[in-house]
Amino acid sequence: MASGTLSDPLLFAVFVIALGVIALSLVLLAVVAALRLQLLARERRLRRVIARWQPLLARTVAGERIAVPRLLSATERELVLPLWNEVRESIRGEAEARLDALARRAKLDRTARAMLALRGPRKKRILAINTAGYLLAAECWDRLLALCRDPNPTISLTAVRAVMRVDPARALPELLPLMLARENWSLAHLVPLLRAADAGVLAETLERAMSRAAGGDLVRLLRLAEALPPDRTSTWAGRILEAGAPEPVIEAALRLVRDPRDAPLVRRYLEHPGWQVRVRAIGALEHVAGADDVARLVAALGDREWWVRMRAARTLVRLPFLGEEELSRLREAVPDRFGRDALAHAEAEERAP
Amino acid sequence: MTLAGVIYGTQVFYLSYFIAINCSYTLLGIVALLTLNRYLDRHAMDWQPRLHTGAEPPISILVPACDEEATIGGSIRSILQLEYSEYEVVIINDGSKDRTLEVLLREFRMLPFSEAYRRQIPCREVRGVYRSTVFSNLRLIDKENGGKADALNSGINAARYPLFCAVDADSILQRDSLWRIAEPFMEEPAMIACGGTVRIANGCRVEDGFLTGIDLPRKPLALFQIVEYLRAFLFGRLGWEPLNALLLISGAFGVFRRDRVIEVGGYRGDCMGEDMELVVRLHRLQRAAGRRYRISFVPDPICWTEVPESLSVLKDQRARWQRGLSESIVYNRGLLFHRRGGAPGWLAMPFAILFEWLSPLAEVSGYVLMTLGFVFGLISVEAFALFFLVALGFGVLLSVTAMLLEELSFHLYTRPRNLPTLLFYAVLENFGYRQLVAVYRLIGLWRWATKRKAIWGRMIRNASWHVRP
Repeated sequence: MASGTLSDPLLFAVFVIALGVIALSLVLLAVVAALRLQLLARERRLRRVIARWQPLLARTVAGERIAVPRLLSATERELVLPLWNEVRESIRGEAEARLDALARRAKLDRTARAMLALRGPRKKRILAINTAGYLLAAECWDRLLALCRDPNPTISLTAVRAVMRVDPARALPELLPLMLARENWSLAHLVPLLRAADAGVLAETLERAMSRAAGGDLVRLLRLAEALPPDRTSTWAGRILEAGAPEPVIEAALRLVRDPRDAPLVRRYLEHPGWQVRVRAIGALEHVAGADDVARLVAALGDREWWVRMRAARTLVRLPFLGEEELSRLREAVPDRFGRDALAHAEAEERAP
Repeated sequence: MTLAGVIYGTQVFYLSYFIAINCSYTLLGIVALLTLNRYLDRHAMDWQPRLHTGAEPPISILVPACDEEATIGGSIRSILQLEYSEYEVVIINDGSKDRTLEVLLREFRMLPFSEAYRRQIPCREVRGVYRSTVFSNLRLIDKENGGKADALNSGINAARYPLFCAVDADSILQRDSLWRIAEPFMEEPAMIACGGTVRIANGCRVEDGFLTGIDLPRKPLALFQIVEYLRAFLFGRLGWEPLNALLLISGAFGVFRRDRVIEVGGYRGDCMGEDMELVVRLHRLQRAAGRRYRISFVPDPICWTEVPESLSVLKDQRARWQRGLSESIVYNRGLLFHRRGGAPGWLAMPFAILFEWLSPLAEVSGYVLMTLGFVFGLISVEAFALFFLVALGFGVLLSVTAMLLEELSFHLYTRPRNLPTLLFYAVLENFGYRQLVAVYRLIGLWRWATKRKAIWGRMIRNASWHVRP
């Protein structure tokens, strides 16, 4: 190679690679430029659609009956759909029906139906599911339920949201087994969706499921029950605490305790060997404690686990029947230095604006 | 062996190394492209209004500050305006010699607070804890000087939430930064750390601590770094993400599970690259223990930072980074080819050693030896020209691929002249800038190898983009 010319096979190979790399770079440069042009054209189109449709949607929401402009193409309809969904998402009351009627007059339902039938890009499918949830729920119910089983969490959760919005009572029995089985459906998404359901129907469905559930399923059901008002869940929590259960179940049950009658049950868990259970039990006492629990909480200030000490301190300062003076007296009496620190910390926190 | 044989062998070595390094990066680019596509697809619903569900993990934001009296107030005010359901801000005054403490106490009306400070990770003495009387989620730890790692450790001890976010005091965040970076933790219970893309603020408009306008800087040095950052974040990080082999989460903005970081002993105070060292150590110890874990990366531009506009500052920065890389690799060498090392031990670590740690040595010596060989007539014109053609050609290809990733995803630089300018600099950076950076990194390698006393270079911030309201 030292003497080399391109007749050297190695040099020739390198030459070919270099040419290939340069050619590829030029192609990519052209692709980047083309993408930018495409983006600019898309943005221009979108600006036009927004300029035309935003006032129409606003006037419809305000109660005006407007003439629907003729939509030129399917592409334009697809551009209107996100806009319509955004407004539809943000309104409540009579305006909902007016907006739905406008969408039907503009044939957006047809566009959504066509998009729903296709396996296109995910963004389009999500848009179609969302729109179908508003406009085509009765007609596409089975299709939407099927989409709740889609392995992709975004698509399936959008479908869950769509059916829950339309008929939660009908959807819940179908969806609950999925909510338990699908680990990629986070509680952060599910609990707000369940809050939209009728509390009575939800409580009934969850209770039926709990009677058969155990272990992880039961924990998840209890966490889902956080979507219900406390008065509906206290009995379940009480039953579990009474009977005893594995630690994660107890922790989930303690999160639901709000009834002072459950205080004796909660007290049983203050000495539990699992510190997470002790933290939850002390947290539950915040809602149900009586005057005689103060001594127990003071004892917990000396717990070997920092989190338990802190939780006990916070619970103490949040008890409605303990005044500042009483707390100061308690703090002075705490024998454990770490416990005193924890209480001083919690008091300072509570006093802070 | 004859002289001709040695020369031939040397040429083959350098050519092979250059082709191997660039092919590996190209492969990484392809993986990054696929990952980015999947990510964008997954976030197709982002146009919908975001609902606070109450189930998001609360986050403690840790802001170490040392001699930041001029900028700390603005930085903290912007952090306090982030959109997130529940977070606290813990400022750690790391023994500032200027008026940082006074500024903070005055601006945020802070009063001493009886904190039950729990020292789970060793750190220097805490002199006092303060709490703002205006913002209930703002605390200040005043401690003896011990460096950034020590300050972060002190913040981790004081943090109350299960996740902590390490932020540089001068980082400019997007309002939804926490949302975006917390999402992986909500979706994957095994997530222990997640980093975000850092973009360059030079040339942008910043008002009241937030970015209000994106534009390119005027100075060529900053423009080169824009292309470089795109390559590093959209390429390097995103390429390793699907393999769970990400070795670096930028210290400017990253979220970690507090309990796991405490388990591994927190940040190392004796390391220049404490951010990378922690991530590599997390990999090493989780893998050794056979635990299921995930370290992820969010490609959205969620954090903006100012980059050096002078060569001397750039030199110190790059030398420091290279030194940090060296320390991270050496301290965690046990991960390399460990039987449980997985992708980090068998792919990412060898890649980091061969193509990041040793690359300045190979690059600089390659350029020097080939040039000398050519000057002394030991290498033919063709061989010499081809060497440069391949090295530069691949460089251009990688830079342009990074531009393609940006254009396919976030296309932030939308002004008419932005794209041609960036494309021009993507090509131009291969003719001098990259070689210069290789020299700076070699200096860092030398400083590390000769165990020269570690010094923290001081970043000179112009903040010319900052507009006070």
